[in-house]
Amino acid sequence: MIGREDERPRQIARRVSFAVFVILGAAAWEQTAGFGSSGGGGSALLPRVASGGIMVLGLVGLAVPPRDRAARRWPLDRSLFIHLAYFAAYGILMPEIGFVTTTVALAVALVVGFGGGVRAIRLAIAEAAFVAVVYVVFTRLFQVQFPRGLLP
Amino acid sequence: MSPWVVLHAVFALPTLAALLAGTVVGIFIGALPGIGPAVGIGLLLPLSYFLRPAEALLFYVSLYQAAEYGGSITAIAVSTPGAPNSAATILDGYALNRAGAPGKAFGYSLWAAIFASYAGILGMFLLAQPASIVALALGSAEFAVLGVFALTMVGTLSASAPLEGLLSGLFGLLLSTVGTDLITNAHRYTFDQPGLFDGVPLLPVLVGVFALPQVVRLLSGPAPAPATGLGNRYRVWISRREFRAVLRPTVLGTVVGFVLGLLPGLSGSVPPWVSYNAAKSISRHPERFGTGTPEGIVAPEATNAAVMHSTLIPAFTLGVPGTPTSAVILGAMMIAGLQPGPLLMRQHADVVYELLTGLLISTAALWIMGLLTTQIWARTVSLPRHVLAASIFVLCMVGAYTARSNVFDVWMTLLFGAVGYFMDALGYSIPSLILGLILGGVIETNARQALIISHGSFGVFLSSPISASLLAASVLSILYALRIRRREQGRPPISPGDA
Repeated sequence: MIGREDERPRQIARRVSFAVFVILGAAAWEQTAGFGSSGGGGSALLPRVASGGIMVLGLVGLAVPPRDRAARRWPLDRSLFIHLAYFAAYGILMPEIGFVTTTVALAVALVVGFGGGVRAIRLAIAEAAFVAVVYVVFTRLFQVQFPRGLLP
Repeated sequence: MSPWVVLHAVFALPTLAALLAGTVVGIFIGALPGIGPAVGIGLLLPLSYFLRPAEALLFYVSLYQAAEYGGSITAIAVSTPGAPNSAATILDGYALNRAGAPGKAFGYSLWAAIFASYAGILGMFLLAQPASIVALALGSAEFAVLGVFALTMVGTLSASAPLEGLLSGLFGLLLSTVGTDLITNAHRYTFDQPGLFDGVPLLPVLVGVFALPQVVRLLSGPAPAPATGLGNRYRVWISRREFRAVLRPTVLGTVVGFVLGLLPGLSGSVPPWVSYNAAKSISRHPERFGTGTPEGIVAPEATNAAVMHSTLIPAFTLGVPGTPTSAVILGAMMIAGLQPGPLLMRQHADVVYELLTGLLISTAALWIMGLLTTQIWARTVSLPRHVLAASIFVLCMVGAYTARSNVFDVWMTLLFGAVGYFMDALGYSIPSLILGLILGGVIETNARQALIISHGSFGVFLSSPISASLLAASVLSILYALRIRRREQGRPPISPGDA
């Protein structure tokens, strides 16, 4: 059950999203000044249409507050930001440590961290085996060279 | 082109392997709760680089076709739609399963899918060439306006909130302008990043917005319900008499799906409900709907299969996709070096006919695999969600890197994963975003060509009845979006029960 108490942060998040779109539209519009105007409406034509439209609709969204009917019930809580932090850390560490090592580490961490119990170890081994198969398929069959860091 | 050449190409071992692999992977992906065909194809997009264009296309379209059936397996087994458009199947499919006849429920679903698939392929054979002739008759102004029309229709009709749908489409359009302008050589929104000089890379965006949010959802959401009601042994089969008894709703579902699939914006999760209600209205026993009646299974399943085929006709011939999955398939085509649009049939008719002929075989493969392996797939729903999430994450990262062997693309995937999650969670439309990104090039190129021809006069977009009426329809759909917003504003606050 989702009551009105629970809707408040989501309502705020949706209003913030409209504000972000207005700012994005304004920033994108401002950039179009340097795009030139030759050649069938110029390079600035579509960027102006898109950024102008984003600004207008973003302002409409801000002026007419949304009801929560449209929003889905996917979590917008602390756990979400923890997951996003994992992925951000992955993006930062991957070039330094190595693509394969970081990817295996995160995949196994997700399995162990969210699985729990003795079964998690078996599942982590299975996950590592899955990564190994993917690695072999892509490196041997498709000749892809994954970037190395301190480790593979 | 000679039919023998097409047949020779289709029966080549790599082509057969591609369509069979697409079918197997498609059923598996469809059967996993929440992993729809768009995510599945997004994850496997890097394969486009290693397959012949026709093989790649056959692999993805076979996957799409099989995933539509796979979605019904989850709906029938655990009352959870594999994809949103399988939701209507739950009502009677799950009820029939609970009534002790899971084999019959799967059998009705499979037969309806096979019937509608063959009808859909026939429709594609018949309409591909005429649609492409019509497309060739359109001028640049009409094409530009057609792109705008598709974007506004998908934005307003496919999203749960039209304003958010339009905003998503405009955001996609803006993203499509990133990169070096081919006419003036101006760098637009590239921020001196070499990775953006050729534009926002399509594959990382597709993988990011479709697949990565699924990883977070799987890690955060509740575990899927265990499969109940499925006995250890049952046979996926219906007799000829049983099939004849449901032929009318199957044909109805096929026709409804095929027609609605041709219209951008109407080919999402709406058509199966339309055909479910239509089948109920023509049924002699409408009171049985919702209690496990076969008519309630075949109508939405036939519709899903027919939509899948007909939505590819405007996608291939006009470059206008009607579903998120067809948008991803267009992306796959572009990666494979095929440009969807009016010239596709002229330049790559061999690929299109190879696809259509190959689909006849992959439909037969789906039928056989459905009969023999549905029991196995029905149990994949109990895969631990964190294992699934970790595996999808690995495929996302490997896929993102493989595209251009570039770490920048991995970062883009992570960035768009976060963008996609927040947009989807807040009611924005991911299909509109992708459509804007894909249609942006078509709209801009044609609009600028039309403006060059007309010496800069914007009246060119109103000069033909087609473009004028499409433009009017686009404006009306935007006004509709704003009106819906005003009406929403007037409604009372949502009660907890609404959730």
